[in-house]
Amino acid sequence: MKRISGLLLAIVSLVVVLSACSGGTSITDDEQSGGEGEATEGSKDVTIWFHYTGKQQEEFLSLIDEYNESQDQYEVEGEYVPFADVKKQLSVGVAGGTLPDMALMDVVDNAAFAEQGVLEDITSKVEEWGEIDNFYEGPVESATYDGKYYGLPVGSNALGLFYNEDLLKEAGIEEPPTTWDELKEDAKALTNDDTKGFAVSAVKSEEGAFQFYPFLRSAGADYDSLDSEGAVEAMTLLTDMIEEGSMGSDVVNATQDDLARQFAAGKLAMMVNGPWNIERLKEESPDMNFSISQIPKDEQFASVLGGENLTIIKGGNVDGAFDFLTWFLEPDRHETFTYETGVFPARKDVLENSDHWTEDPYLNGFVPIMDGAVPRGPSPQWPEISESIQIAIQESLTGTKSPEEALDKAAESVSETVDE
Amino acid sequence: MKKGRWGEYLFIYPAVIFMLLLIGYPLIYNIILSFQDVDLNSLATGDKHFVWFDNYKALADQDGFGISVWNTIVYTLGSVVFQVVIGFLLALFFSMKFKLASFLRGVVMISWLIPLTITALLYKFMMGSGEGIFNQMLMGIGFIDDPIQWLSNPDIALWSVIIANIWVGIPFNMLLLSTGLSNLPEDVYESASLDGANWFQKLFKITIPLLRPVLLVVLMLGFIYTFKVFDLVFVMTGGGPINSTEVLSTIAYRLSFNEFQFSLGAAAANILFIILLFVSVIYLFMINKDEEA
Amino acid sequence: MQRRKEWMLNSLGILFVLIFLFPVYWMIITAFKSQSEIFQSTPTFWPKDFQFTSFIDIFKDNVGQYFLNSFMIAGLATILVLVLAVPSAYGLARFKVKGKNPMILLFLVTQMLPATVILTPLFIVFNNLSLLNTYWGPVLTCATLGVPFSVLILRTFFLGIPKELEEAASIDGCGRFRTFIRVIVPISYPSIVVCAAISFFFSWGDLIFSMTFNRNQDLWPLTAGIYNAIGRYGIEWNDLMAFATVSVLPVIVIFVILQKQLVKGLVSGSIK
Repeated sequence: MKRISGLLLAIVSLVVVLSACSGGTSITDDEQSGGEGEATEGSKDVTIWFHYTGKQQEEFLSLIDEYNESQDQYEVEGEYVPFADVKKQLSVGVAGGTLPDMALMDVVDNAAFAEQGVLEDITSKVEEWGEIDNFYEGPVESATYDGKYYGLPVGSNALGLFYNEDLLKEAGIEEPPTTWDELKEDAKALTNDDTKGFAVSAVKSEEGAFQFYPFLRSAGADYDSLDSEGAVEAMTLLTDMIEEGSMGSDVVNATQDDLARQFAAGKLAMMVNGPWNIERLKEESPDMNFSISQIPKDEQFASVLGGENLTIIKGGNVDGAFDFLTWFLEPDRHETFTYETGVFPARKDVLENSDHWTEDPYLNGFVPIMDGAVPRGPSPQWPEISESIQIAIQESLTGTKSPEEALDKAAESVSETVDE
Repeated sequence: MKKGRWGEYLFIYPAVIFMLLLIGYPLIYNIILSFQDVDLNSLATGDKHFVWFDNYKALADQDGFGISVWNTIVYTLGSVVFQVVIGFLLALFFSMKFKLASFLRGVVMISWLIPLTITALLYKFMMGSGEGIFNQMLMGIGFIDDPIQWLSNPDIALWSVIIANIWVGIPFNMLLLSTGLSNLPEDVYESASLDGANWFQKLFKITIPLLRPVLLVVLMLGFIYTFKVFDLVFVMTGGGPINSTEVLSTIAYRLSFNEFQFSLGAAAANILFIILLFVSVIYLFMINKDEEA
Repeated sequence: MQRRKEWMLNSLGILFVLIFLFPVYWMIITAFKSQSEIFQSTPTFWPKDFQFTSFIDIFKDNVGQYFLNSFMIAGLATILVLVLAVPSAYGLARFKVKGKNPMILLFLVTQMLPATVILTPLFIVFNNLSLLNTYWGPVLTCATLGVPFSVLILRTFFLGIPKELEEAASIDGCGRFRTFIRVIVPISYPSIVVCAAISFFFSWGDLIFSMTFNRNQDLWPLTAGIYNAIGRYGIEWNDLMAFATVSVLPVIVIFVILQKQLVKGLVSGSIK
């Protein structure tokens, strides 16, 4: 008994000692909010967090240098933060009061960060600038929240159907499938011991939701109507293809890059993927003939937008950041940057006045796709919505639940999330 | 004697103070956070209000929370039992004095030296259902006819991650138990041999009882390290398929850094913490009994 | 008879190690394969066409600096762990101090928070102490893994040392501290080396602390380099495995050197 009371005493004293330390909490908080509110007006430095890698990183950094040399008012500095770390770094940055002035973020996260009060509302600046009408609607929509601008799109992509021309020819298929029925049929015909006919990424991450979105939209459904007939049809299509064996059951763990690798190795005849994988496919399998077309449709062709927005952090050097942003988005510069790095411009005027994309044998497949590509959401609760969708996909594709059951449950949790 | 006391504290306290300073703050921060309602917005403004147990209630209602607690327990027990048993057998095996024993014991450690992120990717690579080497080999020797869906079958995925974790943990257990074995007094064995005890009798009557303190601490540490597993699960499956490999630490991470529900994330971490605290108290009781006896 | 047994044990040991380390073999061999060979339907156990491009690729990527950083972080953390943990473990094993149990509990408790939830509070602390973007962030945090671990393990081992040894030393007129340094540390050398090695590898594998506390890429360890190599748009298995191979090999070498020392202590059975 004595021992128990001793132990209890120990735990209590431990908590007391520890909470004595926690006196620091309030102090740090004060300091932090003080730091946040500090006026940075007239400041020269602009720090940007970006997650570009490889070629995109090189181009971006050299553009920053060019900008710094072109004027004396501001000094921009780019800091690399790996993609998977962006949200974490911004979170701890908020807590520690050490945020940059600008941050590059995935289109799908823009609304959430705006809602959380991290980003600067740049509506009046954007209106004064007067160029926003030259941009595509979808990407701009992804940068808005509550009717206000919280960033500008700097590069776009979408998903399309990649198909291996040689394998299609071998199977006697002349044109890539355009409807869901054709897709099912062709995928079956293309499947043999060595090769799967078709694949989407159904991994439990944003990628899974991203890949499902075109099917959802093609059937006339959306994230807020997951229990609709269209949504069920979309899910049934993918589930059936797994049951028929024309799509491998390990798609629930396959990322988009995994698909690209299988495709490059000839183990996959068709897949849903984005333009960023074109270079890799050319490099890894120089002899393979492949093309890109619209993702087969139910009611209408649909695709989903990906890409990045540059956002300005609240309380930072807003003027300097906006100055760099508009400089970076000037048509010529935007054209070179996006084309050189294999993505699509966010500006309509750039795409329309340039042959780069229409003449490229691969990228041109994406030109019509981009027209019909819509952003996910946008919703500040997207991460939670996305998770409900991911789980529904996995439940249905692994046969744990029927498409209806899985989607009903997802619809319910989405409506709870949105109502909150 | 008074002076001596001071000296004793100088031995002990620097480490205690170090840990209190570095971990005490996060610990308290986390406990407080779990009773508040904090997202990025309130984190920036400092406007945090207390909601007390609402977060814990919300967490209990979360889809997949119950299963994640269960998964964490299965994962931990599955990993620790196999790691300790295999590690112990290996320690015994290598404690026999044959020429290559020490070299081979060292080589086994390699699996533990590979950064966890790499191990996770490596196993994901080898457990691919089509071209993965595991299935290829198992099918090659005729052990199975159809490929095993290592990571895509919700009923199997958790055990696949456990297999990877056992592989990582064996050397750690083996090394600590080897060190423990080498510290055992040899004269006891000699007299036991004279009494005609066989290998099994010696193992269960002498080795295991004598090794008890070391076994206990190894079990305890293994339990703690496995219970808060993150990297391996996160990289291999991301918690999927569905929720079949979701564990408490992946939920805590996702809630905090993906959905910015920092308070819910903190609550999930605290539940993990409380379970571990409970197990630690049991450990303390056991070693106290041993040391007083 | 004896020879046959020796031969059997050796073969058995080798067989086991070969099976156990197959994944490591697979890692190394994949690094030398081309992407298309990796995804062939029938796996090749030896690369048909040995490629070094993956290694060339990663050596362009500043591996030297990454390696130095990993070494500094792991080395400093290990020293810190030993300085703090060895005396503490000894004290907790030998002295009848008040609050022994709570302190043991404290060491257990402090290991229980998953790394992901101590990031934000420690970030705030390090920011206030201006320790961000230095080696100290990851060094101190990694030491918080090694210190409790080593205290608990070493305490258990110190308990096994017969008290007579210290009594003899104190009769010879040694103070507590000198007894500790002259008698205890040498005698428990193998256990201390084991703890040092384990603390070293705890820190060697660190990724999340360095990435969170240091945005300055010049301070990133090898693991961060690997993580970076994965990039946003994917893993090239051969490059990744090459990076892994390069980052593991030096550790193995260090370990093999250490192992000899360690085994000497183990085999001679320092405590009888």
